[in-house]
Amino acid sequence: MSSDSQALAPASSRLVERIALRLTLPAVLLAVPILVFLAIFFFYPAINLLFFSLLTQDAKGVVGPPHTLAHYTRFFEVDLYLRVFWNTLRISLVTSAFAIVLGYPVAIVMSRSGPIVSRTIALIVIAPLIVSVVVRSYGWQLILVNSPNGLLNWALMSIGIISEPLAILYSETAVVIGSLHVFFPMMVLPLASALGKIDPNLEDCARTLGAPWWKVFLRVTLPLSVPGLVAGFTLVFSLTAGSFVTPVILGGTTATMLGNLIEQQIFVVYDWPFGAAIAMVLVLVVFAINTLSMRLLEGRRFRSVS
Amino acid sequence: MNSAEVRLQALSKHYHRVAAVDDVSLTIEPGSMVALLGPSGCGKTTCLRMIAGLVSPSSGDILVNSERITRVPVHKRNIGMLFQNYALFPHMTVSENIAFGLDMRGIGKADAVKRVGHALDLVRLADFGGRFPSQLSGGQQQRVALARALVIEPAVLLLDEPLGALDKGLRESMQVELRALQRRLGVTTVMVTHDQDEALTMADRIVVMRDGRLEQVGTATEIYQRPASKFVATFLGASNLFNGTVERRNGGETLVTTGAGLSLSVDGVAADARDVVVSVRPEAVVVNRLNGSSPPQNVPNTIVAEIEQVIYRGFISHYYLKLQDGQELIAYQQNQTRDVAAAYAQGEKVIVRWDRSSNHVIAKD
Repeated sequence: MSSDSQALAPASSRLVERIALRLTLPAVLLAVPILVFLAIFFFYPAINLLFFSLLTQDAKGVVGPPHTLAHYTRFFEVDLYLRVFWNTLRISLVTSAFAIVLGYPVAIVMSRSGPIVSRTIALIVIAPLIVSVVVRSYGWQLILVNSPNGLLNWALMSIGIISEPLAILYSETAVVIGSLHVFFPMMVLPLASALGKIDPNLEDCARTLGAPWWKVFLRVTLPLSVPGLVAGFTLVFSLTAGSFVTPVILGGTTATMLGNLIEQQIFVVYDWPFGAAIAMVLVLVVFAINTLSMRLLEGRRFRSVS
Repeated sequence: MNSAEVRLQALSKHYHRVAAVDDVSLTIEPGSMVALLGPSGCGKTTCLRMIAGLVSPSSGDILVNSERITRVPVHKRNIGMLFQNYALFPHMTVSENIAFGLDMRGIGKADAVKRVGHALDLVRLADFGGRFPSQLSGGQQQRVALARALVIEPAVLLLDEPLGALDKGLRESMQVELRALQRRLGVTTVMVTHDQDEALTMADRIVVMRDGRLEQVGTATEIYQRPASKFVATFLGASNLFNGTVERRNGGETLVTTGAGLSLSVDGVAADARDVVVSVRPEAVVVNRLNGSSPPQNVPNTIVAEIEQVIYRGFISHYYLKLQDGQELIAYQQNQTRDVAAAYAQGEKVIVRWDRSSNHVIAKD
């Protein structure tokens, strides 16, 4: 009896969902306030920004016509800007990659443990978000300082692993470490949620069919957790690419990112149209990478059994 | 397919000092189908998962063809397992699902394609190879799972509540189909079920489990007709149980009397027994009208009872009766004429009797 009703449950719940969707169409109205807010305070300024990036600034600093693409060509022709562009992409991709590799084991443990263990791990993973990004970055600075007094260098040198202090601070590595620290929960939480939805019988079944643990992971767990992976990757990549504080404090002049470049153009150089153009490039890159990753990872064939 | 013998030797599994499976020893004949039957929590699924290698035993051994596999990891055991909810890989087509086990064994593409095709024919799904599991009905998913488990030519096939998720009609036809396929392939099969009909229909031998222990092992007829305990007698079908005292012996025949003044003539009572439990299956009990005549006195296996309720179930009716001392009695009787069941009034006195051979003495509680 109970197993019969279990079998019927998915079909009937889907039906219920469909009916609910049709009946509660006015519920869409509940989303209106935030949509209006975003329209006024995000989409309108964003479009404004797009126009700004196409205008010219005269010698007196007045922004106006004629319309031009000169800011964009300048961005892609000057080596310095291009280098910052590639820095940003590289740091964001490396951070996301590390988040994936480090995130899977944590997410797997979270999805397999009881509520107490899994909530405790979630709390620990989320904890860095409680501390301000500035404080946290200065903390990392103290750890990574490029002199023998830095915590990391001191520790490694006292154990005898290295004899000369490492120069990690003010490098891309430092920015990756700092970003990973903050954005790690953005990878782990969606991943754990996706893994939790995988029927444990699927993995057991793969094992009985002759798959060792790593093949079970590659052929069953990984492909079925792709929705969580895409969500996590999108979040970590976008957030890292838009970083400003972390590269300033940990990256110094060597690991400058697009966010820092925009800040310089707006507040130091006062070249608003060029700053706007860089901002547009950043938006487009993040958008393109996210779209691409979704296509690539989800593929066309993925279908879920309800 | 070459059939393997499976042997469990003093197999136990403890979870935090609670025994899920307690000292189970069992030999499963090559090519036979054995059903582990019992209520939920009796340890039957743990037993099955230990044979599969998904749960490691606390003590005891598992042998396949006299070879000890207790410590062999799951993926090296060559076992086909059918999971309760089929566990089809949702991101793979039917063919890819079936080919998974072959792929893991490093079987070449051409050979694999041929064997997948053969497996699809076997479960009559030849045209469904390109579909995804979500596009199949429950019964079709079940057959894909079966093809996937069989295509690797497993030494042992394990079925975990294989038909539990199907609706009744489909379940019955799948029981017959699965059984026929198992016989044809001759693969040694262990099935777990809580459904007595499924066990009776499909298994060569039934293993009744209770609280992690074996309660009784035997063929369907042995288990049903000669239950070893009260638990088996009531778990498989219904039973009328009478507590009685040995009154006198007359050669092999013993006369037992119960509190309600019922006397039972019983075979096979142990020589030193005084208090015994006798079970009588409801279908053995014949209900007749008194028709005003006085009830017979001192006739064995016969007593007057009162009708509590009659439930019409189509070809049979269930009679719920009450004896003088308040003991309840159930009788199942085939409906011969159209309105025989309806003709009994509640509270009407009737005479019930059964054949001597229907009395079975239960050895233990």
